[in-house]
Amino acid sequence: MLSYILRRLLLMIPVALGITLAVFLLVRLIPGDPARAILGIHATPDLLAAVRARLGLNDSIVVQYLIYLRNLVQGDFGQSYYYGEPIARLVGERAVPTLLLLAYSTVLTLVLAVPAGILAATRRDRAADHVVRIVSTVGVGLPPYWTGFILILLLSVTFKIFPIGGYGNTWGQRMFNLFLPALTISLNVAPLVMRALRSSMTEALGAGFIDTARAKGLSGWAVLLRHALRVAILPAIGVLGLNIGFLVGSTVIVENVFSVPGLGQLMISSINTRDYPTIQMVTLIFGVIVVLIYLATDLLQMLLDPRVRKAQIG
Amino acid sequence: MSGALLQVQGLGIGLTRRGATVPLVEDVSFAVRQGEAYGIVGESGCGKSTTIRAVIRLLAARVRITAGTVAFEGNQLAQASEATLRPIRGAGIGMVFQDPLTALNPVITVGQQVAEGLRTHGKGGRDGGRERTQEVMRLVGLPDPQRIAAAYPHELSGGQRQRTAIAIALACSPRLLLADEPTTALDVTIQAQILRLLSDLRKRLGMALILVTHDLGVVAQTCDRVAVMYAGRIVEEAPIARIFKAPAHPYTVALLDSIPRGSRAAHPLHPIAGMPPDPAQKPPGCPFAPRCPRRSTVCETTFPSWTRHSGGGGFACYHPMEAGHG
Repeated sequence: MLSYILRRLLLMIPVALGITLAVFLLVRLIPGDPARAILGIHATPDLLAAVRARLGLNDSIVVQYLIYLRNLVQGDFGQSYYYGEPIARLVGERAVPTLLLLAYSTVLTLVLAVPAGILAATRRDRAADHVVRIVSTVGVGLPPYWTGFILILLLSVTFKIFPIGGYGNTWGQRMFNLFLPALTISLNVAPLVMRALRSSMTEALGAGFIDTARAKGLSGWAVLLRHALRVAILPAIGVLGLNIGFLVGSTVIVENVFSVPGLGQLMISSINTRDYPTIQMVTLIFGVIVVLIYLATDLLQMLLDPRVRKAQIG
Repeated sequence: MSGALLQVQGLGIGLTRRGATVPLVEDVSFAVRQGEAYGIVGESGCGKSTTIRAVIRLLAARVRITAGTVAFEGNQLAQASEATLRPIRGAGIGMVFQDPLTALNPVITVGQQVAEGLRTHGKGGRDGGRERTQEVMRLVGLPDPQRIAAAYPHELSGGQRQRTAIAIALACSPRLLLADEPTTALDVTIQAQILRLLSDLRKRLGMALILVTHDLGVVAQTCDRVAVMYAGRIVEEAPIARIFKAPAHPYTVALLDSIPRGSRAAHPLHPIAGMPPDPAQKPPGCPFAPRCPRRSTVCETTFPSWTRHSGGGGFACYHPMEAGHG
């Protein structure tokens, strides 16, 4: 098991390297000049040239990339062009709200998707199933920036239940303030998980072991939860894991809609200020988060499914 | 038959489809005594599995009991609620299914699956059923029960899986064991082992067994009496010796002729020509009439009434075979 995890972590290195290269090149395709963004429109050509030289922007792109990699390996993430702060500190502060938002959205996704999926599968082709499926189809089609604004309008402006945005100082406040952003994200992802669960649950309920469980005299709930769900949840976890990549993307938008001081917000502001090293670092962290989530998904499936365990580690 | 452990009377089962009900099983009656081995044979689709599934009410969606009664130890099961059925399932009546791979939950250890039934019926005892689990696993001939209890179904062989399924069914010492084609999915050598195991266990534990199979040979080795089903009806019932020596119904005869035995030259196989009728378009009379060499016009219009055999059982046919066939 340990050697498997180690192997997977080693495999992350080429992936991370790929991410750095892609981001490094993409960032430099954004029109605009970091020196200009820092100094403003009234900067003199001399001053611009001096800043460019200091930032190393006059070197060839290959040299710039190699310097960036060398620093990265040495644990030097550089200084933000815009804030003038070490990026490590900047990013460290911003990572907590984003990770909290991700975890919160995942929990809300499960809270919405699991009961709905079970309901749809057990009431297949009846009214409850149709309602769940229509609502989820609508949900998956709503863009998060729009859903976010509608939720703000409804629950913050009209009914004044939740704040319009922000993060908060205590954990209690944070959980409360992040509810709407997390809901916005999960409304987008829950339908996918629900549909996966509905179909795997339908299949599981038709399987022979359900007959065996019922023939033992188990109650309906025990059959449903201990036998059907335990098998049906496995593909749904796979779908959830895959869609967390999507979920990570959503945090960028949702953090901006709800003014959550997370990595997504930092990313957008860094793009606006052409803050190359910050963009690179944030993107790299997003990439690593996604890869780690995939790893966690695989480990969770191994934990829950002895057949997967056997296939992976023998 | 009074004093029967299980009494099925006039059982009708139908599939509801687009508002209409297609009959799958019609007017099936039989009784099983304590400790008796009763076989039900017939081609696939004849309603034999549906019939025993109806006994503990494990019918597929849209399949319903439309008529008749099922009485087990005096409890009426045909229309009983789930709450009434639960204490009987597992504890009074156990069931073994056809495919031991799909019949076991793939992500739960074998031992837990056996112990679960014990705990459900309050027979787990202080150790949560661990001791009894090992005892039952030994009883069904699983080697090294301690190790196998910790294994998952995919780590066992087909025969071990079916033994596990039997252990699950027997955990709470039921008085009746229903076995739905328990050997069909197994290798031939394993089939014989499992059949012998079922026979031994029945005698040792004094429980009754209903064995559903398409194979008359299996019934011959295992059962005291047998019912032959065709297109949802019992067409003949008799003690096992009589079925082989003096079958009355032409369908029973046809089934016997299609069993491979001896050399091919001395006993050529006779497959039954034609197909069983579609349950939705069953002929009004005897459903076997279109394939029957002895049919007459009356066969095509009216289902024959039940004629009793002298030694128990009976048949439903206008033109039974004379004694001494074969």
